[in-house]
Amino acid sequence: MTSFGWNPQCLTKDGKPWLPVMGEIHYSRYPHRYWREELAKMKAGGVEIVAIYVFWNHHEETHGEISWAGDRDIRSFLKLCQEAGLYVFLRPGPWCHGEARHGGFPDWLLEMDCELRSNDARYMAEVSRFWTALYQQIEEFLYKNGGPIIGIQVENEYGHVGGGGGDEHIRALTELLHKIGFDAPYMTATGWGKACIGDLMPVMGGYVEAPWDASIKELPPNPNFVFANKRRLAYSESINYDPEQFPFLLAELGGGLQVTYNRRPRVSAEDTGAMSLVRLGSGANMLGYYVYHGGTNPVGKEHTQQECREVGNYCDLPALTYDFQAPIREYGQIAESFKEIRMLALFLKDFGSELAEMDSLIPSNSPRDPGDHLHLRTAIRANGDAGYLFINNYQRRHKLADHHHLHFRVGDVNFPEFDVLDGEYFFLPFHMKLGKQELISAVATPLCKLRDGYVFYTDRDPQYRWAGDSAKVLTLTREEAKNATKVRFMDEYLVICDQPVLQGEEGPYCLARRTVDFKTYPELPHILGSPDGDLTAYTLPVPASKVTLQVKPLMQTNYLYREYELSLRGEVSGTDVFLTIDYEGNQAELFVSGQRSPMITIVGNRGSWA
Amino acid sequence: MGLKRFRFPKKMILRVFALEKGQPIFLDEPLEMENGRALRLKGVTAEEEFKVML
Repeated sequence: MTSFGWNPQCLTKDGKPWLPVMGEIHYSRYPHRYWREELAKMKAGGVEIVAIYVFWNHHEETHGEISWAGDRDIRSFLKLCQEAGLYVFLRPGPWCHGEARHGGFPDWLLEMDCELRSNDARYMAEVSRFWTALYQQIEEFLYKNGGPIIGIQVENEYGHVGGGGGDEHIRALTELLHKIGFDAPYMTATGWGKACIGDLMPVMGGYVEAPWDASIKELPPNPNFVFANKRRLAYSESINYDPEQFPFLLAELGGGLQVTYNRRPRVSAEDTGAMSLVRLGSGANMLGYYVYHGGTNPVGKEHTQQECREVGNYCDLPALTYDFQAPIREYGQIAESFKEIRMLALFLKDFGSELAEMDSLIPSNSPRDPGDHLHLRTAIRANGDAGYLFINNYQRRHKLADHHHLHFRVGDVNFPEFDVLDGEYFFLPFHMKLGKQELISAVATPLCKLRDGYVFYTDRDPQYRWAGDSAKVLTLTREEAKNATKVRFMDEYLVICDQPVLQGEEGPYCLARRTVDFKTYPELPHILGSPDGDLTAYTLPVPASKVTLQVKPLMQTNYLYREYELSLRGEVSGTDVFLTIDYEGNQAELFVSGQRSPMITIVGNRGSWA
Repeated sequence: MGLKRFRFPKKMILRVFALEKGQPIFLDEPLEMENGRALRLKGVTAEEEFKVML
């Protein structure tokens, strides 16, 4: 049985440092018949741990009537996680937030005569009753029983967003969980914004914008794009614990962002990629993305289930869509941010153990102010003489200065001269051990191990410098690396394809909307390809689609909106049909068979949204 | 958005609501207003996805 532990520097797995990627999906926000394939996509993105909220109001909308059926069947979801070889962090609340109505509290709970999120006996009794029912569903999936649940987060943002009971309430909830039988190697609480962690391990977060902000103006430059030692980040000036006692773990690094009615930022893949790299350079030893997979709010018996001001919540959210602009979108579409994270995940899978032991050092000349457009942002993670030089020259929605003819010296290593232009972010190795060989430096970024060699990427001259013999290295462009994934046929291969490639039981496959052009390393034995440098290029056809779409404007009867009839014609023989609706307005809704259906609600923005 | 969840409906109604000038909403990029509002459908496409074994 795999053992899990932690120390003030990092998590450990079987006694070795462990730097996993965690991704959040809400099972109750996704149709259960697709859970298996969506978990496969998450795994293909490099996710090792699946985080899940248990929204109380999704399960017990009516007091005393708890449902674990259909999309609420957490037992089946956990079984699928186990079968997929994914670990699980359970977030059972009782208060979650997650842009859910009342943060996940059922309406009836608010009507009770008790003080919510406190040690009030009446509140704790209701929590105990719900958690006991939950326990009956998940008991067999706890780590102690051989299951995948290795982490449990207690409450959420307690003392930061509501909750006045202090650490004592977190301790009381933790005690209750243990009394019922819940237990996991990692018992955590969110630690930002002076949140109370009780005696638990804190987890941190960071988002590239703040759609919860009441402002409707451009916000100041986001601080998640400057390197900062450990947790001393945007929120970290107000942490409520000693950071030297715990590893720096991220559970809520924005995989994207929700939109609120008054604030609708669009998140780019580069936003997510650069922020992730900056946090790694700042010492993060777990990359946990909230959310990694978008979803759709269930519709309750009495009302919709989104956060809304009408019932006293902080923001107005779309009623149905919880797309979140996530790496995997509301309908299972793979976003470009998926690829940015996968590049880091591939690296962490093969080299994360060494990185986890490396301290983060921020040079004194690296700017702390995200509004500093002139000075280059750098950090070093090192252990002894080996490590990585992190460079970020990306600030969301800001142009940063280009830097030419840079000479970096780290310890005894002099990097060759190179330029860093606006928008670039990457890391470079020094004294990197690659098997028996040592790479002194390179102007290239390690991606992964592959068989008996190593894969790097760069758009520059890599200028590998070795101490003695060189290792076997394949060098990709950054674009190729972004589209690269490891798959297995009889052996391990690197596949480079801009469309999603997944590993199935019957072999690797592509979810293709057009002709599949891809490259591999090494050459595949079963398909004839053509040489393309070190790679081999292939083309596979997709069946001709018989599906067509007709759009007919309907008679305009209303000044507030326009309506169109969409007619889908032809037999569908593929796995799905995706609509891309390119519109400008406040919001849009789609009605299917007279029902109000989940719809695009990145509303009022320019450009298409699929 | 994916249509398999809805079992590939043959007919759908799309409703696009106007954004009125001065509405208290932050957008990354301002929309082009005509007569004080933005309301336009620029296009809708349908793409079929296939599972292709490598």
